[in-house]
Amino acid sequence: MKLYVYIIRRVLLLIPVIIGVTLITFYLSHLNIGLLITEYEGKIHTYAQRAIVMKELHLSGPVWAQYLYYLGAMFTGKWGFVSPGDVDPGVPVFTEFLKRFPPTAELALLATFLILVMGLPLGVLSAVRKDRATDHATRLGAMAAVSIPSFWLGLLVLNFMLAPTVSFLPHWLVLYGNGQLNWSVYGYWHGKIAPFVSPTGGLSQPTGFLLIDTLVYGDFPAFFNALWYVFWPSLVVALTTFGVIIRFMRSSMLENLGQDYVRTARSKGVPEQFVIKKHARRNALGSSTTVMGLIFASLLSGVVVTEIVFSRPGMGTWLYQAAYNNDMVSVMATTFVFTVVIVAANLIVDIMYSYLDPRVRLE
Amino acid sequence: MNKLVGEALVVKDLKTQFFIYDGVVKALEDVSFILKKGEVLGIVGETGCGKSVTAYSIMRLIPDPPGRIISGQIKMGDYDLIKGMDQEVDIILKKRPKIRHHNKMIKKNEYLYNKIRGRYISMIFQEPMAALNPVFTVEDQIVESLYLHSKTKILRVIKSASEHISDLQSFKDKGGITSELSGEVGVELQKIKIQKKGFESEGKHLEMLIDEATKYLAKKNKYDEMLKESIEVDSLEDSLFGNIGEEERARILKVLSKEAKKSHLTRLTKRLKKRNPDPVISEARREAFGLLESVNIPNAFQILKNYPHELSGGMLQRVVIAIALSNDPQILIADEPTTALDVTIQAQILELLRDLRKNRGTSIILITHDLGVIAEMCDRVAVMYAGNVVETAPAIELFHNPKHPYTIGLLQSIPRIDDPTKKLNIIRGTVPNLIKPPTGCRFNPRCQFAFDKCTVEIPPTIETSEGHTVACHLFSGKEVR
Repeated sequence: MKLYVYIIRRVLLLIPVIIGVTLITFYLSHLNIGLLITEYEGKIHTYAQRAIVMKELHLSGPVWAQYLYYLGAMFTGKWGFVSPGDVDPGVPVFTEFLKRFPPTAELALLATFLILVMGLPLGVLSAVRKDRATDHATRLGAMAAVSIPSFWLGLLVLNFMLAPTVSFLPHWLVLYGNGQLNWSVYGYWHGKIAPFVSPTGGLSQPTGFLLIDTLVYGDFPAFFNALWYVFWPSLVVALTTFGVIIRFMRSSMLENLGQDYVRTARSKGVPEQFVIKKHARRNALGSSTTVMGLIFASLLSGVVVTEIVFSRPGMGTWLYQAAYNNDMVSVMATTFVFTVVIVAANLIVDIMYSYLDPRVRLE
Repeated sequence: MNKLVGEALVVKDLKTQFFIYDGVVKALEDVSFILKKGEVLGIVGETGCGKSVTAYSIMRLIPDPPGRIISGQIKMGDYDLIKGMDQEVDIILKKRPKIRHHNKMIKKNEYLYNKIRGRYISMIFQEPMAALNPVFTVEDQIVESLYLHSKTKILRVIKSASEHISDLQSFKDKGGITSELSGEVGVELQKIKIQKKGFESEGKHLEMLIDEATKYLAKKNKYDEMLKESIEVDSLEDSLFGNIGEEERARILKVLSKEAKKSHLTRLTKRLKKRNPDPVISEARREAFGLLESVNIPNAFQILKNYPHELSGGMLQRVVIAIALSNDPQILIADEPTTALDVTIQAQILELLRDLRKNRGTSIILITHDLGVIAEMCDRVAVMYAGNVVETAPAIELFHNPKHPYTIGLLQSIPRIDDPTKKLNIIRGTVPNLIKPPTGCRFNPRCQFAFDKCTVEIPPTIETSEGHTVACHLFSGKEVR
């Protein structure tokens, strides 16, 4: 089967999943219509305003019609408004999403990268040195890291690495990361500090990803500053997650090192280094990819705690605030996004898996 | 290595043990046998008798931990594989005496042994389905083997081809190979011709050869440099097998390990995948094509591109044999090569092995529990029981005049079509637990002729007639050891 046919089929399969998920979130949020309109409390003063809200949420129609309207709106990008005021209609959810997604994506991608870089080699090492000091140390360390709650580790990092008052870091680094995202050449050139985050605008952001935008403008101090502030939360996320991949890689490597083809490779005279790196690891990677994809998807949607601890304006913080404020429109929107992300991650994993293991055919 | 006459491999007092939680498994106890040049030696015995462990000990494929070769000699010509290895390790350890993990050091520095495996001794395994790496194509796996050991040979063929490029071109235009050439390319063409696969195959080979030769002419200096380096490395390696002083050995090992680091070997993984690969690799592809044809694989050019799971068991076993043969080894160990295959394929694989012995003069150790295969294939047979060689004899002698009670039992437990009424004789009991083997003769609890002496004293190996030895108290004669 051609790859694009497969992708199209998988994307079409996405439709029932989305309908199912939205149906559940819609049903739950409309169980108590009072919740949905809590936000409007004290804001609706006139019948005209009431009529606008009624029309906006299609409250005059039956529930199934409301759902269909909602579904249609989701697919056309009209995702509703975040905390509408009495005059101001509020920020469109889609705009909010475009603002909130990049910080989370940066965090998740960097964390995934760190997990791969730390987890896979340690897993391989642990398997090759099975039942020896290295193996025990690796497994103990991984277990300890996984057992530490992410908010606690986050607070530690915040206090010792990012806070300017207590720090083990050299003076210039503390200054560099003095708690705000404000280190930029544009500060000197344009009389402005922090080009992208100032409330009055500043420069336009081509992608929304700070790490990319700063590079687009060639503003390296700002880039490293942004990297500094995404690195630490990523490290916290990675440390609290990578134990899974170490253990998985270890058991997968052990299984593959015991296979007959490894013996064949040795009998051919392949040096031990290549037996491990080429023959066994390549096979072990295939099954680890599946786990990695799931981890990545869960990171994109599940770094709520870390984001709150580090006050990152990402999807997690958004979801947390929305749930706290009964902002059901935003809750439904974030759920929708998470659904798409998880399904997409699974699709990518399946495609990668078929490249890593020729025995798996896409169908 | 070519000076060998008479014996290809001498195994003497080989002792291999596994150190597990329950105790020490004495898997091999003083195993001794001789493999003569160009002969097929069968090793036969029940499951758990140490046949495979013997093979793995020779190949040094015993997983460590838990297994270890305790003592013994495995001599290939003048070179003792075990002692030589230990010397190598000693030299390395002398340099860094602080390192405590000797086993790790052996594994890391099995440089010399990796040269022996695949090049001088290679092995065929029981389960062809599992013996090939599922994520690499057949071609990659054969080319890997060639690349590791046959670089010099491959470069020589390319060089020779470049000298005769016009002749090759005319052969191709005329259709097939019509006359002979001198040098490496001549030998190569002769081989292709012997395979007699018709014009198409010959044409393919010629095409690829000409292709390589053109590339060679384009980058002559680079290739010549590679060939020079490769020859140097080869001669250094060969000299390690000879009688040289310790200092000299240390020096050579140092040079070689440096060479191994910088050589293309370190980038083997990447190079195999690249679009424009190492010249040696593209020529190795032609060689791989020839190898598959030599093991009677039809449509070899397509098969090369297949993954192992796309081929049948018989096909895979041929591929495994092709890999084992890729560097023209002197010794081939076949560990139950036909067990997992159906009967017709079995016959074909055995035929292939027989041809191999005839055409290339390879010595073969054939491990099997099928006495039919032994009768069909072997010149001499070693019968193993519980980690001991209990009887060694020429195949015909063994079938007509078995001495050891265990051998007799084995032969009687084959169902015979010509006496249907008789109840089948079996040997009662099973192979003993080798953590606590029986004292004296290990066969004594199952032996119907056992007497007092058998439980006390380990029987000596006795030569009862020319080439027929037996380890049993029932016989007396000249003690071999």
